[in-house]
Amino acid sequence: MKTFKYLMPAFIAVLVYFTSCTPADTNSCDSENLSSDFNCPTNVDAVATFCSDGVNNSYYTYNGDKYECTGIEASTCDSAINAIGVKLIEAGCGSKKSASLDAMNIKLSAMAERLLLEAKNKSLCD
Amino acid sequence: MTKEKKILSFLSGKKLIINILMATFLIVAIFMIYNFIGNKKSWQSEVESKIFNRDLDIIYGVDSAQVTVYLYFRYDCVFCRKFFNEAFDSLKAEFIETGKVRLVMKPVELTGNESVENSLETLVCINKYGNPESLQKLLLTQPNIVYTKEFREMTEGFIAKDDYVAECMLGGVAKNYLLANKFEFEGLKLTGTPTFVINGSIYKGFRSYQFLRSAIKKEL
Repeated sequence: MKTFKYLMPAFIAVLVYFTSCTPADTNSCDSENLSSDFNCPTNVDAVATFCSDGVNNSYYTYNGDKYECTGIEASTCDSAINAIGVKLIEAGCGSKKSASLDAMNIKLSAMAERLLLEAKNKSLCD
Repeated sequence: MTKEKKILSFLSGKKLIINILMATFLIVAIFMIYNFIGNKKSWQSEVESKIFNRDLDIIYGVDSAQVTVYLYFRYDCVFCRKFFNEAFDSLKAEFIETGKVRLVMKPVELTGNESVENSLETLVCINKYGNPESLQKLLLTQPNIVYTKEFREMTEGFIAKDDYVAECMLGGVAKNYLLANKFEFEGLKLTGTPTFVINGSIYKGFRSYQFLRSAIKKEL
């Protein structure tokens, strides 16, 4: 009985060790403003929410709709972002975030122009 | 109770079976823990052996830093920019500028998009032969600018202005570097950006400054 008494805490300690190695199922969400990605005017709400439980499931929500991702990371959510992008364009945003983006159609904002000029002038020595 | 009686009691009936089971369980548990630690270490070394320091890597911090953090990233990825906007400055102030951490940034282009590829080639060449700060700021705040003719004109301007940048971009050096990063990324079985590798441990997806801080502190 004494042996059992001494071994029991060790047994529990080992069990605790192994169970603590299992990733905790904690759901976390972050808000993302996609307005710069889709060139949205200020009156369009382009804030989407990305949620992940870190284990099995992740998704975006935008305007009350849920867009599932293919994995648990934000990087596996391109299809969700594209689907949200379509909604944003319908709502008045300028361009789709896509490889087929038409370069000539992008109008540079004043800020973009300023940063471009800065990069042009400060990246290399004269 | 005498010593002999204690031994006899220990070896008798049900107690014997319980004791044998407990002892077996403990031995197996110790073996598993030992094996787990060993596997983790060898897996970390395997990861590190697959990562190469390259000439065009964008590096912050000193070579003598205790911890190396590798970051695979793209500017057209929302969560990579989230890292730069929310965690990078604190990481730089607490760990990089104090010589504890060396951050090796490895841009990866996974989509084969020509404009994005051109912007990354420009960035790594400017990082090597000029000052990348303004260009980085531009790409972080205006990622879509890479699709504009103005951006392409700027790139052409860099090529015309500096022979080294021209060689880096037109001679295929930057292209090969991005390709090598892509192979490295795939070789590590990584699936998306941002991905952090801290002393051989892989952390996929966006991580807050608090998370990175505690992961780094574990390694210090």
